[in-house]
Amino acid sequence: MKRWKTVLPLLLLAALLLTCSGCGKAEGEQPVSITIWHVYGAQTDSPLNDLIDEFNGTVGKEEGIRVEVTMVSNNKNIYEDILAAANQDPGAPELPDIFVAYPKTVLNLPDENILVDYTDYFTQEELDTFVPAFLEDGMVNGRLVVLPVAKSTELLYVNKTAFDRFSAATGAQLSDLETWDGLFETACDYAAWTDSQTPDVAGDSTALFVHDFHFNYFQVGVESLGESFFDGEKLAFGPMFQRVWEPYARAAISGGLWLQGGYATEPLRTGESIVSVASSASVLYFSDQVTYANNTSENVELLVQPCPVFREGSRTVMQRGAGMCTVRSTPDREQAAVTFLKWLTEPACNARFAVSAGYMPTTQEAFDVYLPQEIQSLTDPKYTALYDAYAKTQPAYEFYVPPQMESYQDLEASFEKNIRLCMLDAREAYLQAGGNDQALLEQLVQESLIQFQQIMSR
Amino acid sequence: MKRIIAGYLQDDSDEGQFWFSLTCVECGTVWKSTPIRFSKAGVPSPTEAKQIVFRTLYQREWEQARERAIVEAAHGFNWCPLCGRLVCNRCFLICDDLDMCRTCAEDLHERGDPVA
Amino acid sequence: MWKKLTGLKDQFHAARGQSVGMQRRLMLYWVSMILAVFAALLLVLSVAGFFSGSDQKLNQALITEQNNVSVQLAQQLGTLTAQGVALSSQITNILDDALYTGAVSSLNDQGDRLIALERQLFTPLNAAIQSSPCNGVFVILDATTNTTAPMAGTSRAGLYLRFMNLSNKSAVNQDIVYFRGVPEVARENQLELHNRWNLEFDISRLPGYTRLMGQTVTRLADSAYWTGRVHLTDTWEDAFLLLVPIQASDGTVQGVCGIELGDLYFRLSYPAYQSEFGSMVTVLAPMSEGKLRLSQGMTGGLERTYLSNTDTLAVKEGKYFNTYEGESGTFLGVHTKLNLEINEAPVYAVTLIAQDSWATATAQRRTVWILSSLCFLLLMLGLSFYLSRRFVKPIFQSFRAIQEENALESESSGISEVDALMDFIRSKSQNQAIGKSGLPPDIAELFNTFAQRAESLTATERNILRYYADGREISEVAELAYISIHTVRKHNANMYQKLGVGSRDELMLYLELFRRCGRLDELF
Repeated sequence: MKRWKTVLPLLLLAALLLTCSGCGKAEGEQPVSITIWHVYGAQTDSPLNDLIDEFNGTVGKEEGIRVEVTMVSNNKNIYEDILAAANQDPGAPELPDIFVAYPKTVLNLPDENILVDYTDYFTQEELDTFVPAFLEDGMVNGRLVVLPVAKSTELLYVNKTAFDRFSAATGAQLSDLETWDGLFETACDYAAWTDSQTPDVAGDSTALFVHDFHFNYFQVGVESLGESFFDGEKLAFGPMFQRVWEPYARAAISGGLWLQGGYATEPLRTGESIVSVASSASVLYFSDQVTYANNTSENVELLVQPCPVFREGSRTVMQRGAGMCTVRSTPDREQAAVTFLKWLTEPACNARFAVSAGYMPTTQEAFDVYLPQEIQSLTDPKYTALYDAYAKTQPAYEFYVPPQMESYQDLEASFEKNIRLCMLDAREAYLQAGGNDQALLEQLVQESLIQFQQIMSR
Repeated sequence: MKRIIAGYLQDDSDEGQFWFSLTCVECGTVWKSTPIRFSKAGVPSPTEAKQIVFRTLYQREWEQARERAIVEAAHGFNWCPLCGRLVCNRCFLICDDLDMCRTCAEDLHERGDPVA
Repeated sequence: MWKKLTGLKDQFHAARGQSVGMQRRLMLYWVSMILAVFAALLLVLSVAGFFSGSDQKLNQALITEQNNVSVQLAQQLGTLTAQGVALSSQITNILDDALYTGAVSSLNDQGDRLIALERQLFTPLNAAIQSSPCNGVFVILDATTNTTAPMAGTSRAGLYLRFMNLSNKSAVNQDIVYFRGVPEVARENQLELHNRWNLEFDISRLPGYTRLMGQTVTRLADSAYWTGRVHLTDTWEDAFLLLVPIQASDGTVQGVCGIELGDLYFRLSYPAYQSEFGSMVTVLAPMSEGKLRLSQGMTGGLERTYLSNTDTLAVKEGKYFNTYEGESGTFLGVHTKLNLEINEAPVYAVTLIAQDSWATATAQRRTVWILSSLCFLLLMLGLSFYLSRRFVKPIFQSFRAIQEENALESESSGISEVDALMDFIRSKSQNQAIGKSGLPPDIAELFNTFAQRAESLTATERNILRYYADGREISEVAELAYISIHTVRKHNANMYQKLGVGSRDELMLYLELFRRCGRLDELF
């Protein structure tokens, strides 16, 4: 009996040790896999994907985390797929662990509690490293659900090679593009000039200018003129709206404004327009090459300038840039997602990521210490131009952040669709009447405004 | 037994001595305990405080004397199992089957010798 | 171990002798019972194949997954090839109608006609991408819109449609993006241009194009050709491309159409299977010189593994499974050859599992098994200890009762054999008390006389005698009997006379002797 008494505890101890070592190993052997949907790169070579590969090979490998990209798209598509997944629509994909979204997307989720509140995972000290205003943007109903990883703003992109040709022929100046009025007038001139290139074909003008979000033009324009763009959950349509409308509509009806859908990068790529206002992040999608319909390509110089303003208004520009949301799952997956995000927002990494994608970093240290280094090391002239424009924008402009409204997303979508249809209608009417009747143009500008207001208030 | 005796014991004590008696209910003989002198008998009590001391002392010695008296009485008294009375040795008979008092023995026609 | 065995032997020897305790004996019995049951259990488990190698089990799991996956893969690749061939025939019809007898090259520098043709080609392409298990379709015509353009030699007109936001391969309304082709067709069909859109194809980047163009085609299906993994220039995606020649009615090749199987699409189609041994990954890759080249193949979902999709794995064949070693780790798995070649190397469907995760799973199973059997053993030992103790307890109690000489008053032990033993002991002790054999005759005489005399005592006297036997003093007797001490003394005198004793001491001596002989009861 005595022998048993000594042997048994030993056996027990041995068994215990075996189990413990077994458990310890099990966690190390199989990494935690998390999925991410993001917008950084769309269909191009994505800088974030490269960073994710780097993470998987270093910190991820050490901590047993593997981040997998299962969608790179744009905010609109991610928004739609997230809603479908969250609502568990038939055929919808599974929710990823991390996705990129604006707070307005989060507001439209059936239950925003499916998202992790980052204050549960970040210490106050860690949160203090972020630019406070950016964190503020990510708060939804008192919870920090959108982690700012990069911020962008709207900038003016000019195909300088093409603009120079136009300038040489007509005397148009680059400085005309500094104000909206100047820009739209130039657009009218450009339409007339391109139409005159082929005198035998009437109404074949091409557009000078393409804007990614007409909604943003009106929103920032009206607000910069000191008037509220929104009235509760609807649009206000005050006197300043008309002020912003007139030069815009004139250019659109004259054919100086690109009215088809899609992103601004498309017509610039095909040479169908040569000036655009788009997110700074669009720099990734702009090509140095323009390919014309006859399959000839031309290398062009891309000029980047601060966004145009109204002369009598304040210098205001849209602040853009979504953040990362983490979906609630299991503690180890949530922890893995947060580990990745912490890595991505470490100042050095944050600056590197931001600059590679045409963004501004979101942590103060990245701004102060690493951003200048990163900018200095840039070799692509597109990027150098971009950050020059940034540098000009930063001190001179006020940044406008859209309000958090449930109807924002729908309002934006219907605005974008209807304003194009409305303008295309008016342009059609203008072309039918010969395309050179100034009185008709002015009449159409006013009529289309009334028509648009009617559509939008339906 | 002691409890029974204690119940019948009569206190004849005065200021000087402790004295108890027990009466046989059969023959009426009164048994008296050996008197015990109060240790402070005759000593004048000079003060009020001393009086309280003396009184307490008296009470204590009285109780001791009573205990002694009960033990003493136990030598001479018996408890009749039939009528439940306390009788002296002279009135208590040793019978064949059960010891009992004289009256009970007469009633039941039992024969027996008195203890004393 | 040897010590333990000899210890056990000693115990056995001891058990055969009479000196071993009842409990120990019983415990030994229990333990041997448990060991027998345990051995039987082990036997049954090993017969049932519980220990016969997790190797074999892994083999079964791998084979099952591999069968599923390779059937699915063969089917998918087969379907895609068939779709590609069908698309080629459809395009041939369109070309025949559009060109009458001329070759496609007659469209060179004919921008408008090319637009018109692409408009027509859009419909079958759109139908093909929507209905096939793939994420892109394309057609390349042997013509270019501008023969004077600098890159005209390697530039060919055509259409390329791709799915844009692949997050779920089976979603109904996938967004299509326009990768190659004239923008007019995209606008007419409300398609976005790809961020890296181009007007025409650069055939210098398309492996196999020239080879297909130079071929004389007998059967389309035989000429269909899968490229290995190619990188789609300027994008983040890789893909397998199926190329099928487009044949004119005179048998000449007029272009190429095909299907794209992107790596993301493949990943979503073949997610890793989380088996009990770890994450199982599907791979479709060519093998040459004993090396599986993932960089030329496709990998399914890589959840919970460290496998890199660009690794080259050296294959070592094994009995139950093969070992695949590469930079991203060592993997176990099985492979099946598919009816497909890439760069003249046969392509294999492979199911892989990380060796580490398998080893962990096996170690865990072993630990669970060791722990649970240990627990079982401990539980059984505890139980046997408890049971044997419980069994022996009444025996001990009876034994103690005998030792304390109140065996006569002890209650039933609950065990018939023990009770019988107790009865026997009781009767024996009585016999001993009554029997004179144990005492010298004169003393026995003295005892008997005393006992006889005791019979003459009255009830009261006997009562008092019992008080004395219990060790009471005179004063206590008086108190207990409610009589005076005088009365007790009177009784004493009577008793002494009747019993023939001279003093109380003499009486007490008698009582003690009677008690020692267990004959005290005779007096009362």
